[in-house]
Amino acid sequence: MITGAAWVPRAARAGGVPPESLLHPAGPQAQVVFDALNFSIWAAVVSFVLAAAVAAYAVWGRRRRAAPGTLPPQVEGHRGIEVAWTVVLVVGALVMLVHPIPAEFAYDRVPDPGSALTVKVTGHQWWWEFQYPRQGIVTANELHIPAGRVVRLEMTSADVIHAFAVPRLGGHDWAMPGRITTIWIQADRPGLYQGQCTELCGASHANMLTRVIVQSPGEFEAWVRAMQHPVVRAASPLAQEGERLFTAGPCQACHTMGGTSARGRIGPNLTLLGDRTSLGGGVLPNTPETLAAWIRDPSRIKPGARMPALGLTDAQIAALVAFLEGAK
Amino acid sequence: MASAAEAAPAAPALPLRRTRADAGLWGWLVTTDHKRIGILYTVLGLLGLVEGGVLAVLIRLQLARPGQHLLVGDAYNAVVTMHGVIMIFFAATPILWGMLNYVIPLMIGARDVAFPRLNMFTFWLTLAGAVLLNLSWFLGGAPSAGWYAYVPLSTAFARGIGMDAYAVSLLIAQAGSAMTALNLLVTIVALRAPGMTWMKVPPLAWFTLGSMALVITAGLPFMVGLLSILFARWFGVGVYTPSQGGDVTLWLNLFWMFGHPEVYILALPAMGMITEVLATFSRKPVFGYGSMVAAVIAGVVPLSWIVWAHHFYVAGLSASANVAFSATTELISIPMAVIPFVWIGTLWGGDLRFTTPMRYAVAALFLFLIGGLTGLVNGNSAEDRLINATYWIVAHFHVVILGMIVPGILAGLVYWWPKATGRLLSEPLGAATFWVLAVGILLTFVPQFLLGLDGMPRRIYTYVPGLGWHGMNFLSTAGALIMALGVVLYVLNLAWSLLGGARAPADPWDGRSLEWTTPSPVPAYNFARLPLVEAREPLWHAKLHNRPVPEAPEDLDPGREGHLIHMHSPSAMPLLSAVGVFVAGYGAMLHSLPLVGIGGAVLALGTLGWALEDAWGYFLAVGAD
Amino acid sequence: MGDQALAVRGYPGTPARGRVGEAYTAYRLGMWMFLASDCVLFGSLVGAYWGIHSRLAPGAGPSHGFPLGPTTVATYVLLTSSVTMALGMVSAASGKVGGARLWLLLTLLLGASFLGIQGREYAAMASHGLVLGGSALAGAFYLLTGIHGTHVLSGLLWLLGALVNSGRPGRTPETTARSLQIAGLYWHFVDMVWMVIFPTVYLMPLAR
Repeated sequence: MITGAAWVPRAARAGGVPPESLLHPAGPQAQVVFDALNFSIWAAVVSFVLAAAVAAYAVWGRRRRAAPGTLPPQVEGHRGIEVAWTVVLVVGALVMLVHPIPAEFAYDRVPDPGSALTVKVTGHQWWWEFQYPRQGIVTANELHIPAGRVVRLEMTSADVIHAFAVPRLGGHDWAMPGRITTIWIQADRPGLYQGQCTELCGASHANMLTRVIVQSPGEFEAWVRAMQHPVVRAASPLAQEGERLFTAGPCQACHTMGGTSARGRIGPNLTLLGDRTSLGGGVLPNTPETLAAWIRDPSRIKPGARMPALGLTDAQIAALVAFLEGAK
Repeated sequence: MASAAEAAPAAPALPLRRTRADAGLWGWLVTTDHKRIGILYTVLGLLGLVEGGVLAVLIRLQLARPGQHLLVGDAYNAVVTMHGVIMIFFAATPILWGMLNYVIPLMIGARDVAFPRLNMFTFWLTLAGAVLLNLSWFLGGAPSAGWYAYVPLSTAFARGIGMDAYAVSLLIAQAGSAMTALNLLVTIVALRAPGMTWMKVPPLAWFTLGSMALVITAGLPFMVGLLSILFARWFGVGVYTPSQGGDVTLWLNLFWMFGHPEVYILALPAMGMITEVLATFSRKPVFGYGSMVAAVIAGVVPLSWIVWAHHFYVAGLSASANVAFSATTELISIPMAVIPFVWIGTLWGGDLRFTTPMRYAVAALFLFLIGGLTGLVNGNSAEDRLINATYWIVAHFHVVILGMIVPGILAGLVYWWPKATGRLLSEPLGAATFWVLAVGILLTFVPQFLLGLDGMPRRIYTYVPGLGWHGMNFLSTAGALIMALGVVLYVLNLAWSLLGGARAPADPWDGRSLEWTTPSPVPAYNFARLPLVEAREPLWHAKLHNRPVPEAPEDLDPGREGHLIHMHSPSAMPLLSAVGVFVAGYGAMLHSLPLVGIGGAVLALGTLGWALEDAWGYFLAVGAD
Repeated sequence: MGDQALAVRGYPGTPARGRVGEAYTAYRLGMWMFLASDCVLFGSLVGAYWGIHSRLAPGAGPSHGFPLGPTTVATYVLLTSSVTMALGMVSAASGKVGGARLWLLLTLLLGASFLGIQGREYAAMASHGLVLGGSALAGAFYLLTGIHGTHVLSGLLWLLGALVNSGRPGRTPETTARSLQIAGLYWHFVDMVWMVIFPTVYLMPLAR
């Protein structure tokens, strides 16, 4: 299991790669779309250099200072040149048109559908819900997948249009209410991959990050088992007090916490919260201090957050934090 | 059958006036003169440009560093939304409509547009839309769902008056634009000077024809969509709501079937202005006029109707649909590339004079190569899975707008300013402004391409540190501040010229087209005698043959009797009708049927007056104004 | 309606040299362009209606919702009004202003009857639960037919104006003929749109 506090950017930046970069595919699906992008960028750069060179030559190389009282040749056109440039443009456009067609079909077709891991993704304002139907588990904001295996994502939204986008793994499509969008992603190697919602979805659109935690198959199975049979051991009296507050107070009205009686369906599922790398939709590292700040006043961190400030005392918050961070 | 042969024995004698009938301050409110309407539109657009620009600076200041609290959450979203809506609908559009209103009739040798009262009405509608939209700031919040207002964020999830203001103001403004398009289309088709056959029509008029054809067709799905948003919020109409059997993708289609042509609606007239300026200051005709016409009318216009879904490749369309729209999107790059080639051919071998308009036009050529080719990168669905909704897209369209459309407008404004105002602008200040703007535009947007490749998405009010985005964001903000300085300098130049610039002659630039045959500023009746057009670029043709542009005989100029020119009457009915529209719009924003009723009654009254008033016109003697 | 100077001097509308055939007046050209944009308007509305309708399960939709009887009568009424309009245009073109005005009056009455029948149908449907804010289909239905109805109403007001104008001083049989020609274009268009709406909304579901 990945324990908290590993603050994503530093970890992912170990290789110097900007975490959400479009240019560092880490899986076959990402490679497909990256190859299409790469080809287009190079085509655009080469075309620009050629066209700009011709334009520059026209402006600085071919201008003719006409003698006073005379005019430059009043050329209205040249059929040959006009036909030639049209042919060049048509050929270029056809190349650009044909080249990415296989990529689109490859993107769309889930390979190996029988062995794919299926996850149902639901976008909410402003967090992600991930359900694993065959495994019978539900989590939020951090998508665990095994390396080297096709993962099929069936996406919808509970409210407005959101976008699921993790550039290094390739998937980027919308989650829309009333519709299901299906894409597939796959990661070559374990690691932490990150993206964020790219479709304006309200006040905290900027605070809806998407974390994909790619684990080795063994680690993934271990995580699934822990999620299926969560055991919450409140180790200290403070954590026990926190558990009491959580299950008897307002928290359980919105949240589900595996291993307790809390079965709320409105907010994110908090099972094994202590193991998560981040909080609040990916915008905060998971530490006791940030968790306390979040519980104290969620909308200060995330404008518009549906979770209200509950007016808890510092002692109560400390208890809850101890309980939640202990849920591993 | 010549129309002049229409017999009208019972017609009343028309009055002869010593000065134009719409003189004085009130005259500006009841004018039907396309030149005055053009000036009003341009002033409105410049105000919109300043407002939109201030909002842009606020956005850039917020994003300069991660984690800032200048503008957060929905406040930021409102600023982003208003920046987009105002820049497109209440800055670029009015400035372009204003300039086209002023220049097109002059350029084709007409005395006014086909429907002068309708023309004034469209200005009032645009103004009404601008006011209603801006009222939302004070009435509980501006719209914050983005300029394309995707549902259901903009219907069920946007509380407050903002989205109602969005829907109503744009319905009104778009209706105005559609009427402007109708007017300009009929004007170009029916009111060209005698002898101006189609292949002698100036380039700007062709580009305008293309743009206006898009306005009157593509604008309608948008209006249906907007009305549906308004009705969804007001009456609970469920066309966009899945739980009622509706579909969120309906808005996607209705909006983008307009939204894509809209970009060409703005781009084409600007390209036309660039074409005119390049020809004049290369002292050569446009190279490849036929290719240019074909590219606009047979290329850009029809293709722009069939590319719209490239704005939502990521909405789960089938692979076949995505491939089809990728194909049409790649194809439209062909005519859009022909036009810069026409520009290069025009410059080639020319005697280039680098005046202020020419600098903007040449810069537009190079910047359009960048903007257009980065568009080629976004064009197909496979790579869009990476690049959609990142700052690459933001940089792409801003470079096309600020690199081509705005320079085209700035070039045209400086170019035709002497004709409209009778004053020259300062060349040294113009040159300085150009360089400040050029540096500002590049510094603002080149970093944004890199931000896009680093994965930064659009419309986020802040970003987590450690993603590597802060450096480029900071540079981009610096660029935006430099651009703001450039805009200030540009406006200062305009003001300085009005306050005491040198007087402009009729033909300050050694022009090629008909507007340069009139005095500067242009008299109310435009042409004392309509020209008789013998060739493309009639003024240049006449200069080459060392004689003035020939005049049309009186039987081909039915608006003239000797030295008396027939003028259109001014009218208060467009204003009255527009007041009705404003009141009804305000009522719709507030969800008040009674107010809508009152507004509707005033509109009906105004329309009735319009239909029944005597609009016979009057005569003005040449020389009187 | 519009700039009567057109009739006085044929201005604006100077034909460019070299154009063959009858010169288009600015107004007729403007009307054709307006109708082109109106085509796209109704195309979008019909498309939206059709998109929502096609997402419903077969057989779904209001059972009492779209009554065929009264609406068929209304359709015939509207069609007849196009005939009377055409007859009015013919009368005016041959200089018989009095006859034209009678046909115009008849067109107005028929058009108003169409609106009356549709209004009663709206009331009946609303009482059966088909309201504007109900299902998406109901919303799309009212938008489509409501905007068409607004076009009919505007047309009626226009024809009323043409009727009033035809009797005012300074108007000749020619100006009346021209104005009816343009109004007629609009009226026929509105009728033709109904001939698309009627089968789409009322007849197509029967074929499923």
